[in-house]
Amino acid sequence: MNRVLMLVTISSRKKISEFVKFYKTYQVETGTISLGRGTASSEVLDYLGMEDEEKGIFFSVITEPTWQKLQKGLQKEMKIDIPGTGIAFTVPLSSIGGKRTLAFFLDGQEFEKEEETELMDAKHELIIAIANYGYTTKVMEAARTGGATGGTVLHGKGVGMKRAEQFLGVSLVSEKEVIFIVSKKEEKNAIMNAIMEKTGIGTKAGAIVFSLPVTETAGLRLLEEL
Amino acid sequence: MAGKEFVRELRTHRKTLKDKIREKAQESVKAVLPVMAIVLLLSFLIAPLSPDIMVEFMTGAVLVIIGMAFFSLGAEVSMTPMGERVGGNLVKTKKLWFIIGTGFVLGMMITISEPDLQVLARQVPSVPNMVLILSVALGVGVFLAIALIRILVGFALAPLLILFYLLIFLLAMLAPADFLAVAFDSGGVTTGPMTVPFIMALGVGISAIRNDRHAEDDSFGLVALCSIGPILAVLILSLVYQTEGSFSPEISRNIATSVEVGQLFFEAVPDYMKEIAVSLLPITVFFGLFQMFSLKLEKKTLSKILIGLVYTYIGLVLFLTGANVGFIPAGNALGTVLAALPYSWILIPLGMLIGYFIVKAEPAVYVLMKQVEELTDGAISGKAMQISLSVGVAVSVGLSMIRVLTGISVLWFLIPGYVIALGLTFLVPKIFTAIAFDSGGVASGPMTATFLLPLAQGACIAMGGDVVRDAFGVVAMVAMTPLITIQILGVLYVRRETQSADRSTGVEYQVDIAELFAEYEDDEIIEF
Repeated sequence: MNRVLMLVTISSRKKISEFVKFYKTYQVETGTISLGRGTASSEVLDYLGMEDEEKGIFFSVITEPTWQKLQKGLQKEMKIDIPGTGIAFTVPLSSIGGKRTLAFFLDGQEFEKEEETELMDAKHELIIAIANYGYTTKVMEAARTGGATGGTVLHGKGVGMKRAEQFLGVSLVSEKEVIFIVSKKEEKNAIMNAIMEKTGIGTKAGAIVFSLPVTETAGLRLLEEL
Repeated sequence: MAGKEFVRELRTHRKTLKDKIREKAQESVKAVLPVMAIVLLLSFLIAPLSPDIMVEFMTGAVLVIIGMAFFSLGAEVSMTPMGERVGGNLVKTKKLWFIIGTGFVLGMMITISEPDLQVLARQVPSVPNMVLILSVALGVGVFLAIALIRILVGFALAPLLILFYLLIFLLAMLAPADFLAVAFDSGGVTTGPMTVPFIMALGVGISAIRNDRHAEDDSFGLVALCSIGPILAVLILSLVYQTEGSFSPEISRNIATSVEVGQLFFEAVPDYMKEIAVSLLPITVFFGLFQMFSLKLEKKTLSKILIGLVYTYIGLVLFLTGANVGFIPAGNALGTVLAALPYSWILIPLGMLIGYFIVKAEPAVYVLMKQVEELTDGAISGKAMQISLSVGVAVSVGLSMIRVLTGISVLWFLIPGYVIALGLTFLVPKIFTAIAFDSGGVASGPMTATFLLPLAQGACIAMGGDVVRDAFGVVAMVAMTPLITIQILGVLYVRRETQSADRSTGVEYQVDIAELFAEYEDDEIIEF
């Protein structure tokens, strides 16, 4: 069976709609956009408020053959390799809830059921850290000491730890920040260790961290060269 | 960090720095340039303005552009995080009386320090200034407290708005006509460029902590309720002090040389430095207290906010100096000249044109657009918002010019306008109602006060009309029409949603995938 992948694209907010339009020409029509923030690459610029930190994150589902076609377009049309344009990567899916959903996502994309594909080696990893609201800078500082270059932050609400606190009949949530960091496989453990040591459970940041395999990437040339 | 290192770091990130500066510059140039172009074109073709007014206007416009850029840079990194943090923290205390009390005190403080309120107070000489200022502040305080509680318990905004606007119009029937325009204008006054970003962020912070489907919808609506307080306060005062309003026209100086133009601006700068410092003070003190006793943010976050505050301050000083010194005389003169033309009806289309473009230069509009995009994850685009606002303000300036030319009472426009706006609340999603009523206060900012109002005043004087009755009310109109246009955007939005839902339900998905997995049940999980 062709492998089915989740395609994650991260770029500046203005550019993300260009990516979505570009994907449409490859029959990747369904997906979700979330808005997030980039983490600072320069402390000075960050202080001065001079970094473009607003990012858009587009999640969609594609098949392996679609990626093969997309990849060239990403480089040629979207010029994803120019630093600052954006990054795209895929995380393999292991299952999906029903064939209608699958058809909904893959409508129009090339898909072969019979073909056997061997398990590919993941060269990269997507590290996901979930920390208390306001501690992204701390977590990123730690991650950098482990070799991370940058990340993207999504806003989230934590649920289900204890019974939610109530006030005036409204249940209150604790706000969380979800940090995405793409790293090389060899560096993953160092980054995760650094996050756990400096900002892990028990600290104020209270970060939990885990990782997902990333099979394909585009726009990470900088990371490769480093 | 040492100076050398600082420079080196700037140099290594030259490109990012350049991009950001270019982006901000472009944004603010785009916002102000159309109005500059229109005024320039008019002055060349049909409206003979004296050169010194033109020089003042152009200089003012440049200051406005620079000020805008700084403001938008600063508001994002200071006002927004400040409001959000304080809002979230406020709720976490879980002390109802503390939240109500804080809302009340905060509302009072920011209103008293609002520079526009002093101007408003002078327009109503029959009421002692202090009485007016305090009662308006009381109005805002009470309504900010109500608004905070509303967000917390998730009570719908529309019924509250309907109730309070009914009350307002009942009082308006009893109030003397001279008071009406000023009363409705006061609603826009308390929502200055400094307070709007902070108050809006406060709402976001409070609702972010709620865990239900409507949390996002309820992020908005604070500004909406806060604009009601002053209107009610002034209307009640008008019943107590049954007398009329008055108007003293600005005395404009004659200017001979460019040095004098320079002096005009330089002399104004310290005034505005003081004014903005005063209005920035309560928010900063308030935030400082929170930081000391309960927020305890890290040093880094805090210093980022402080640097942002400096940007905001510089931005607003430049913006208000430019707008007040440069735009007021130009607006006034343009109104006078256009109204004196044999074809004075031209005021209506020209006013609409100017109105369409001038909202873009309102500093708070930018913040609102950002906020809306952020909370709806881009579903309601900033661009759509901006076009709706532009159309709204264009209509309101057009109507105001009709009023100036004909002298029709402001109620003839406000009552049907609010009836439509409140009626629309039944048809559109809650979030659009909240955004719409917020944007009323947002659209009527310093640009309206320094250009549209003088334009109407100038025209009114030239027509020999009553300035208090006919020219005032521009702010009220600008604050009203967005309520309608943004909600119409909501109607369009709902229609588009249902259309696309219709389309997708009937769709047959790609047959082969369904066939490929024929052995699977419909709801069976497929393992890859």
